[in-house]
Amino acid sequence: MAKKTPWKKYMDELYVKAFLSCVITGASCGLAGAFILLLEIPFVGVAVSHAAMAGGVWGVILGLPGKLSAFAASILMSALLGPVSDRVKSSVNSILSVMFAFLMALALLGVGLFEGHRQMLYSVLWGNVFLSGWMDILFSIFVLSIELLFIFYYYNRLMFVLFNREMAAANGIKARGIYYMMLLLTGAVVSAGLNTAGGLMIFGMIILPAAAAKQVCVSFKSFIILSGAAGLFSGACGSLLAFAFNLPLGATVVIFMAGIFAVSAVYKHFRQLRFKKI
Amino acid sequence: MNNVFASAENLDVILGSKKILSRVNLKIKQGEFITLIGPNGSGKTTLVKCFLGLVKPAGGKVSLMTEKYGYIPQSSCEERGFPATAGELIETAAAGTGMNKDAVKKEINEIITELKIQKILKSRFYELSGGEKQKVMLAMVLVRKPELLVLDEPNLNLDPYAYLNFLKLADAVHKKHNITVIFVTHMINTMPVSSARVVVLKKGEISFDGRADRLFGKKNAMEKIYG
Repeated sequence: MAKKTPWKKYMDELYVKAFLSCVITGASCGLAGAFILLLEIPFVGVAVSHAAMAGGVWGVILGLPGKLSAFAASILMSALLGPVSDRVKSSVNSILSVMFAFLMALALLGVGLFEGHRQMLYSVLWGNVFLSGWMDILFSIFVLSIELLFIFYYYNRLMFVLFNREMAAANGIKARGIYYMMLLLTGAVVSAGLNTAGGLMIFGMIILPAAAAKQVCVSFKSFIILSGAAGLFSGACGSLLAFAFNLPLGATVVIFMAGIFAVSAVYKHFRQLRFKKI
Repeated sequence: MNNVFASAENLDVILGSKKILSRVNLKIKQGEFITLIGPNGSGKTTLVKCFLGLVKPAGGKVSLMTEKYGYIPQSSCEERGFPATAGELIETAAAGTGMNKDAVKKEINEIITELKIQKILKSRFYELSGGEKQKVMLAMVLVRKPELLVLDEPNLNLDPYAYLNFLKLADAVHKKHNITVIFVTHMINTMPVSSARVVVLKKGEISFDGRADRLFGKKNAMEKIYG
C-alpha cells in the first residue's frame, strides 16, 4: 500500500464527512445561539441534549431506533418548553432546571438498566463525528436550511420579539408563535448536532459564537451574520486542528470557539478604552 | 368624535390564586388622555394588559374599538445589551404594517424628526440614556400609526429632566395625532398635567374616576390614592 502524504488523508470520505458535519453544525449552532443568548436561556442546549440522551437510551431499551427516538425526545422537549412555562406562569429557566435534572436522572437510569452495546449511548453523550453518515449530514443541512429560512422570513418580527416579547405581542405581532418556533428550532439544531459534539459539548457550540459576536457587533444584522459565521469558521478550523494533531474533535472545536470569544472580548475592551480617551 | 373607544364592564382578573381586578367598569373616549394612577400592586398594568389582550379576564367584558394600538411596557431589554441600533429597531417596528417601502420610509422620517432623534439612529440601543431609550421606543410604537397608546410607567428609569421632556413629547404626540393615551403611573408627582381625566385604582377597584382638578382640589387626595 502506497504511503499517503499528510494532506491526502483529509481527502478520505471519513474526514470529509467529519469536516462537513463540524462546519454545518457550527453554523447552525451559531445561528441558534443568537436566539438563545438574547432569550437568556443558555441551558436550553444542555436540557434538550439530555432529553435526546434519555430518548435515545430508552428508545434502544424499548427496541426502537436510537437516533430517531433521541430526535423525537429533543423535539418534544423543545416543543413543550414554551407552552409549559407559559401555562404554569414560570420562567423558562426554572422549567429547564427541573427538566434537566429529571431527564439526566432518566437517562442515567436507562444507562444503568441497559445491557446491550453502549456505543450509541456514548455517542449521544460525547459525540462521534466519525460515525456520521451522509444521511446525518443531509439532515444537518436540512435543519440549517430551515433555520436560515426562518430568519429570512421572520427577520423583523424575530428581532422585535427578541427585543421585547411583551411589547411585540402588544403591537400586533404573533410573538408567542415566533417564540415557540425559536425553541423548536433549537431542539432540532441540538439533535442534529449531537453526533458532532455530543450532548455535553453542544452547549458551548451554541453559546460561544453568539457570545463572541455580541461583544463586537453594533447592529442586529451583523450580530446574526457574525454569530453564524463564527460557528462555521470555528467548525472548520477546529476540525482541521483536531485532524492535524489527532485531538478529540468536539472539544477542539469548542476550545477554538472559546478562543474567538476571548479575542472578541479583548477587542471590545480596547475599543471601550479608545472611546473613553476620545 | 367622543364615542366610547375602549371599555371594561364588570371586569374580574385572577392571576394564580390572587384576585387582581374586581368588578372594574371603565369607559374611555376617543382622543382622551387618561392617567391611571394607584399604588404598586393595585392592578394598573393588569388592566391595560386586559385592553391589549395580553391578560385574559376571569369575568366581565373588555372591548377595544381598534386593532391599532401601541404599548411601551415598564421594562425594556436594556440590561441585556441587545445588539441593535436605534434605527434598526424603528425600522423593524415599522415592518408588517401593510405600508409600502416608500410610505414606511416617509413615516419613519417624519417620526424621527418629530421626536428629534436623528443623531442617535446609528447608536446601540443599550448605550443610549434612559430618555433617549424612551424616545426610541415611542418612535417604534408611533411608526405603526396607533389609535391607542399605552405608556406603562415611563418615569421608572428617567431623571426628572428627562421625564419632563418625555411628558411634553407624549402630550405633543397626543395632540398632533389625536391618539387616545392611557398613561400609567404610581406616583402622584409624575402625573402628566395635560391629562384631564384621572382614574385611581386601589386594591383592584376603581376608587376615583373624574377630572384631575376635582381629585387634587380635595384635601385628602393623597389618602384617596394611597390610603
